[in-house]
Amino acid sequence: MTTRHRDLTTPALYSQTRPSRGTVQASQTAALAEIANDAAGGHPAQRATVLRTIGGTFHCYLWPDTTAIYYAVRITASWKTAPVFNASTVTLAVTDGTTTVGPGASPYLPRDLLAPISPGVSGARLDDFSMRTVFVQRDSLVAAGLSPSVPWRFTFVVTVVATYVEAIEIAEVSRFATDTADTYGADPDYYQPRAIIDDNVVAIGATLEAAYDLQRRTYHAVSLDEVAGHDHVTSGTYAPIPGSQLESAGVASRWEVRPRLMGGVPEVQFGVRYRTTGMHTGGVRITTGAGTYTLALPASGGGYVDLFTGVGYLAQATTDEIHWDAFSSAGTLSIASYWIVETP
Amino acid sequence: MTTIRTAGIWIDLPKSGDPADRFRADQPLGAGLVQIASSNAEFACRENSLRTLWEHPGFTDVNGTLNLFGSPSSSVFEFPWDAVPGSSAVGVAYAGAHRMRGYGSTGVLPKITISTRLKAGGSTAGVVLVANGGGRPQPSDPYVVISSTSTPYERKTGTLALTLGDVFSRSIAPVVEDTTPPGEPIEDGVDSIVHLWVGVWNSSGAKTSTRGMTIYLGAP
Repeated sequence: MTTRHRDLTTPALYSQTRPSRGTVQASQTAALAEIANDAAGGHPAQRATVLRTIGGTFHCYLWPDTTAIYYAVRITASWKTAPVFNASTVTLAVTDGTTTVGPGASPYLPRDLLAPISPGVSGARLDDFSMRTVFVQRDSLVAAGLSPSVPWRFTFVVTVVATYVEAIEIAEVSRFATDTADTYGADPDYYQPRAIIDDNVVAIGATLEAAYDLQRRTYHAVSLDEVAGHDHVTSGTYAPIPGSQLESAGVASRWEVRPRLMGGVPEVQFGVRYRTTGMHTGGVRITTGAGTYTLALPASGGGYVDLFTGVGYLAQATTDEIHWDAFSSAGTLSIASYWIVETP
Repeated sequence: MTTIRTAGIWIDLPKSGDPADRFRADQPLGAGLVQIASSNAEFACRENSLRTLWEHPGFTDVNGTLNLFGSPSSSVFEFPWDAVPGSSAVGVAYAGAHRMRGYGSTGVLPKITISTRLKAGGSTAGVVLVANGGGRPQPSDPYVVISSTSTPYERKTGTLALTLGDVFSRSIAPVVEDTTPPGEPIEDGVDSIVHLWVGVWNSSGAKTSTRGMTIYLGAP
């Protein structure tokens, strides 16, 4: 395995200098490899945010099958009603549904994550914001036994004393290297004009495919406290979801997104973390500019489960609006997380 | 002279590794193929740079009295960013730190777009989005204000066009955690980010509400 560092640059390649039936110049393949690397690894787009909280259990979701190998986790804290030297703690557990790493100290998670985070006490709340960023490494979690081919759940448990956690953000980080261990990544190396395609060029095709296929953008991620802050559904037919997804009585909140427009109709995967009371079932659906798509929710037996197998599409337009509806066959359907992610 | 960097559409090529792979070894390399591949790469860089950054269910019945519409930047430097959460006077949210890179090779950053359903509740409602390097929003920071006098909810959108001088460097060098002492970073580098802040207010004490707030990157 060899790696080569790369900075985040996007070279400009002009079509006029590459006319059909022309001769490829030595520098052109190097520039092409560089921009292909940037397209593949420079713009990962999965993320989730836990909004301001005074504590709770929150779940965020990412697919590990993209080009990103790091996830930046940023925690921001400040005091609650008056400056006080006190602290928040945040634990993280990551699971693929079978194997779980964390929430306690683990060699596979950032060791700085568990330390309490204390805001300043200057007196101006905003100036007292305290921020900490740690990086979770995908390959460490794979080494710990998590499957890289199913979505991962990142569970943050927040405990505060006289403070707020203003936000927890998790986001994919750009690649800063090409690595021969990857299925993509092209070395911007020397090419002899009029020569045949050699090892330095052969990877460009796969790298371009990674720029298309190994990309997922999070279109919508709402993480609620599953203990005390989740949404409740009691309607027996599809209806707007009271709580985070309700604009006004009987009207669902509509969320504007920017679809990735690679040529076809943008496809998404969607679902929720939910629980049903007793053996009752339910359903959620999303409505976009392209249509309405449903996901049946089997009885969860009273505990929370994740179900993200919904398939839908976005409008082939520069913006689209999404809204959610749900129903419960009987009893209460509780929803703690909503997730809509691109299927490339 | 007009310079073209992409056809603006993804042009399919035979799959890598297939017998018809245009980049298979030992084949001649034509400039036409490099042109198509370059077009695809530029197009992917542009599209991949656009994404959702943040969403918020919204603020309910924000009812302070803030007339911040007088001078253009008063919505930034007079806004009570220190307001204690839970106060109904204003809505304040830290909307996170986000990577900002150019829209392909154009050298232009994508537009930061804030979109919300907004109602004023009887007077004028305002929403301000500020981008900076972290810390208290300043009048010199880039910002955009959207406002509404609507009684029912209406879609309001504002865009913030940043320049490369408005973004800030972030060093990324994660150590390898599963050894003691920690191992050297597998790969490290620097990317560029901005911090985003959102404020919501009402001009005369009526009840302003927002719903379905999103911030995303759109094409410049």
